Amino acid sequence: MLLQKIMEKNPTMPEKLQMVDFLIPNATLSAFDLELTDETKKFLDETRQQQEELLKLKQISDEQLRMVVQL
Amino acid sequence: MNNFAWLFNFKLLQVTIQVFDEQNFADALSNAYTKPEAIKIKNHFQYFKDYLGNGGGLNAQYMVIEENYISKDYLHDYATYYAFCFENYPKFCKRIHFFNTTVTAELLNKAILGTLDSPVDFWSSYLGFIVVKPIPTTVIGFTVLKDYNSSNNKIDRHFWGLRYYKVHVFGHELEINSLAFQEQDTVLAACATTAIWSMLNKASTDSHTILKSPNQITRDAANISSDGSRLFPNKGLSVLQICQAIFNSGLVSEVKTMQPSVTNLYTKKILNAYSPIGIPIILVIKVPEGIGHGLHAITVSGYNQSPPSAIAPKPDISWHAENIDRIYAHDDQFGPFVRINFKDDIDLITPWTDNHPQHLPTNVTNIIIPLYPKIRITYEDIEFIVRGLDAILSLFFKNKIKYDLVWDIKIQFSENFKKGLLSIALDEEKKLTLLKKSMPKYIWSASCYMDTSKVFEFTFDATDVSSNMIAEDLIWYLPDTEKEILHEYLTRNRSIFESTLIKKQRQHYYEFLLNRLS
Repeated sequence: MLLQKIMEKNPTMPEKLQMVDFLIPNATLSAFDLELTDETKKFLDETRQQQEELLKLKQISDEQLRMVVQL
Repeated sequence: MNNFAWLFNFKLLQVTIQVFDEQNFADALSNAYTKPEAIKIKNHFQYFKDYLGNGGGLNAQYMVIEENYISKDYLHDYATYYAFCFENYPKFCKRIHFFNTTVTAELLNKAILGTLDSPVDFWSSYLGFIVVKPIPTTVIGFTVLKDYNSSNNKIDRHFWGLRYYKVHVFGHELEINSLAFQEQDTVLAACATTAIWSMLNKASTDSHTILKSPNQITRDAANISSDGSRLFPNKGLSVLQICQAIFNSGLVSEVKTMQPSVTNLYTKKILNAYSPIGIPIILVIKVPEGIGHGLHAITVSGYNQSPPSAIAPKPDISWHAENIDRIYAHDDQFGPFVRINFKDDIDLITPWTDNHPQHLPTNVTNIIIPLYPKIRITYEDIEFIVRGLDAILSLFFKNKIKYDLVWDIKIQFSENFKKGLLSIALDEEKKLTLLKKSMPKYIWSASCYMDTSKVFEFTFDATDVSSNMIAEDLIWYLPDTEKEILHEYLTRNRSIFESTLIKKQRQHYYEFLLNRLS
């Protein structure tokens, strides 16, 4: 009943998603054991490196803090 | 030219109506210390002429000029500094009102008295005002003008840093959605102070944040200048002093930087992430000036961003923030809502670039994000987690999906997040659970899109400590069968994937994922 009232108020609510709309032809999703190939290891290592880079963004130097914004 | 005047308590209130053209506009902006010829060579004059003009601007037709106007903002600065000058600077300003319709004395009188046949049409043509200060050269005072969307509404343009101003015009109360602008007077305020002032104009709509005059903001920043000399005339503020002034107004700051310059992608990510809070964001930019560069501060209150679209799968993570292709900022050396475009990885095209003889680019050196103090989790804390999730999901979907996963990280008021849930296709039971759930005031959401559809969304408590497991919920928009398959996949490969999530609490994050997928 509540959903019906919401639909009346928001008639443009999208329909529920169907996975088939996002899959390439003949593809199916499955729960597989991931093989740690060199490519996969490299991908995961790169992810970790990118995460570490994010932590460095938190550091601002004293010199930067004292730059005068004057124009 | 139509003139009429009323005598009121020894103050002569003179109101003049003028056609909006170049000469009349220069005359209107002039004062006893600054002649129209000097006005015409100001960057502001050129900018406002275009902004108010009819080539993509607000299409102003007429000006109504109000003499002997008391501007509260200028009065504060006058009382603090100009009143003590030997020179007898006036305390009265003039205010120029702009209309995009024809205005005559008869029409204006009827509009004021409320005897027009269609008063709504007249007052809806009101575009805003500029206060002209009675000081040398830096004449542009408190200015509130409609934004671009008012004349040419484009759905991709998002002005998130605006507020409603009540403008009282001859007894009538009008409302304009905008962000106040003024140019620095180079005495009580340089660009940094003016940028903070514009930002506080919006932030102070929250009762815990205080709007101060430029002079008060500069005083909040420090007692003396960075080099030890007097604070006034002010020659600028350091990044640290900017943050101090922001702190004294009831907010806290996050300062972002990169070497050699902040990348355009990072700028887009930050603007995209923090814009839902509604507080304008200050960019410290390196602008070309003469043979070198100088540092300048601007206040960003909007951007142009296309909606999510289909992207083919690619190795690098995709961000919805990449769809921002232009930003709008108050630049006190030009005007409000200055258009800034991105070029390559680190260059911006600003009016500074356009006006420079060699068109040298502008670069971002710092991003200063004013925030409410309860927001403790940073954007980087969330991107850290999202990168881990993207890695896991990319391997799960690899070679099976048509579209790349596109992530949209944003901080929101939880009340707005709940409002958004009302129009989303979700199980009634799940929707009710979320709507009734007690949430922190601020939440981070990391939404994942495929094509134009949101497929799932993670929420995080933005008020918690980063060392805790801050994930709140996973909202799944795909069919439940896919959820079960993903749960099984995560269970099988847990030993590999746990290390890609946050280092602290990784076990709890993984348990959270499995729990929400079961």
